[in-house]
Amino acid sequence: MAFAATAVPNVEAAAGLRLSLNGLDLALIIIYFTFVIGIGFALRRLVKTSTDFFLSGRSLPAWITGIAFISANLGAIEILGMSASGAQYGISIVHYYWIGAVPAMVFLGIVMMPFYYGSRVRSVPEYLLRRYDRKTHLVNALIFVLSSVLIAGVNLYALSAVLEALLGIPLAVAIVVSALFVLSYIMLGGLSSAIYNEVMQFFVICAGLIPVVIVALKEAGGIGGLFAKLSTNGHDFTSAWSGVGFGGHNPIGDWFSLVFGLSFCLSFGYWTTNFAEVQRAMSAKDDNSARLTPIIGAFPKAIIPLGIVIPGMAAVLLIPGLGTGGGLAYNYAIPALMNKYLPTGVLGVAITGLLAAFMAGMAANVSSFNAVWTYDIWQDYIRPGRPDSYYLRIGRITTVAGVFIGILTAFIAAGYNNIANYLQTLFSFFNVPIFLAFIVGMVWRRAGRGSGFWGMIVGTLVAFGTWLLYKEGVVSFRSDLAETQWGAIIGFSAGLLAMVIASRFSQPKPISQLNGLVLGLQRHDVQTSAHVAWYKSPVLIGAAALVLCALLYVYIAVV
Amino acid sequence: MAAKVELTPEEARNWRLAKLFDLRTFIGALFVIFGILVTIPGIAASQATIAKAADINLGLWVGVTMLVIGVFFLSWVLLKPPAPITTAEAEATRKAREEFGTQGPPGGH
Repeated sequence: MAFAATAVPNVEAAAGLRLSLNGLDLALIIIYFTFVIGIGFALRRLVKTSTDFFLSGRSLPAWITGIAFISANLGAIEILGMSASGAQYGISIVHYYWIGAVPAMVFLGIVMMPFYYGSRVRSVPEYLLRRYDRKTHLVNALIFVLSSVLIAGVNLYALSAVLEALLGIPLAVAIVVSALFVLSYIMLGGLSSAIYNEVMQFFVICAGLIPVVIVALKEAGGIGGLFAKLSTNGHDFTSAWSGVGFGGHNPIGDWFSLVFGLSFCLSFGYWTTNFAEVQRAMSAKDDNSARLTPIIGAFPKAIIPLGIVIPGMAAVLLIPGLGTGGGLAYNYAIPALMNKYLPTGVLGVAITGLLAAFMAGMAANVSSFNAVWTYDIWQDYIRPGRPDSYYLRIGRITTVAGVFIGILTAFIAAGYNNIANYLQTLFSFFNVPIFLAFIVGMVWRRAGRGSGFWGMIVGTLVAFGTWLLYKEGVVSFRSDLAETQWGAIIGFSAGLLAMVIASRFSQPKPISQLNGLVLGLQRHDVQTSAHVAWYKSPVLIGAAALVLCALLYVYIAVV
Repeated sequence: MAAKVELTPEEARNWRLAKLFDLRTFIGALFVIFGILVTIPGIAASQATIAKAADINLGLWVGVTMLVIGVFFLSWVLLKPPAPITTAEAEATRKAREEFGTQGPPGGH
């Protein structure tokens, strides 16, 4: 999401796509949102402590947290943006899933989750506090708080723009009503409410997307027929690995930047340190469920491109004028297909799924924002040592404040369209250096107290500098996407160098403070991880997810 | 480990609520309602409606599938309700509530 191939949906060219919903479709939408609020009220009675509110009391089974994990990522920008990228760049966009997401999710589950869950930290920044120092922690917490609340606003804007285009609801009304919805269910049920809705939304969006894929592929003559008809758009459009050599022309990048930039730096940076994601795993009921969370999420993540990228490509054939001057913008590929093919009722389900997905994206940002603000900033730096009920109340107040700032951001983004894009670009610079501080801290016990801070600062500045030089035309890359990948590699390397140098000049942490935080010094939760049945083994299931991706690559190559 | 414990009235109430408010209940109920509402126009679908969706009666297919999924989730809750609270869990939760705020998050699960 944070490094998605396209930015915020462009709304201007959608005036022609007003959905024809009838009473039944509207009834389905209303029923769904009644459920959403009902869940909030039901769960309200179960929220007793701040852990209940921020981490669902660490009580959820792995299938729920796993689906919530993937669902929190399946927001407006993902569905519209990645289908648009499919329509624009073709099948190569699957790299953003099969090497740009699944390996990172498996790595998070197998390697990193024991440190997060096993060390009992309550948030991602809190890990940095224990591993490095307050400076590193505060920088990370502030960047996260700022980015999640502003990105929540961007998500809100994107959602409202789509509501305006598809349903004719005025933008301002859409912004306020959607924000109040998200606010009310998080206020009531906390993270549990957000997670329940994410899981419910996941099933509804599947019920909406699958029929679209089936009909679109039937019209296009199957995936093979679709690729054959689209091959006139150039070989790179229907072949994921064509033109990825150095000097090739595949717009997604070359093989080196795909593997090290997209997969290692960018996607590991996003999936393994983004608290909006990791929070879902932290709410799992035990050590093994926490590890399984991202790995279970990896399976839908591997399948999702078939439901998003493929219909995006099919829309090039089936929606006349898509992406051209007079036609619809690429971002409306999926809503246009829904409108064209789905009958009454099914259309209502599909639109409900879209609306729910849009709100889930914003809710994920808000629910992680309030946890980090309350635990990592308010409790650590402003008002420490108060009783738990005090922090629960602060969490609720923070939710209101967060949604309010989100609304303001959405209105600003509505007035200045480009701001949304700039915000996303800006925050994308922070992801990779934060991942650097985590991975080095986890594997290298001599990384000094202050080194995390310097790694983040230098890595961010160098990645930003690379982007500036590219924009000014001093250095060139084959596309914007390739630039983000190379910028990540360069930023990561520079930050790593800074960490090594800083570690020579700052004292290492004593081993006694690193237990449970660094490789080789883990404190295993013997009770839960001793006897795990083979079908619950994170390594085995993780390997199966990777094999699935490899098979999918083979399938799209031979079909 | 799984020995039943004396629960405080509040804990007993929470467990009853947890059963009723299990996520599977919500998904099951939603999908049964959606399934019925989508199936009805599917049964009554005209030739023109079916032709619109590449000659597939989508309403019928999607509706019946959702209905089946809804029934699956509801039966799952009925056949395998959430596990009752064990001694260890009740202890851990109580302890965590006392310590929380000074010692970090609850250690029990």
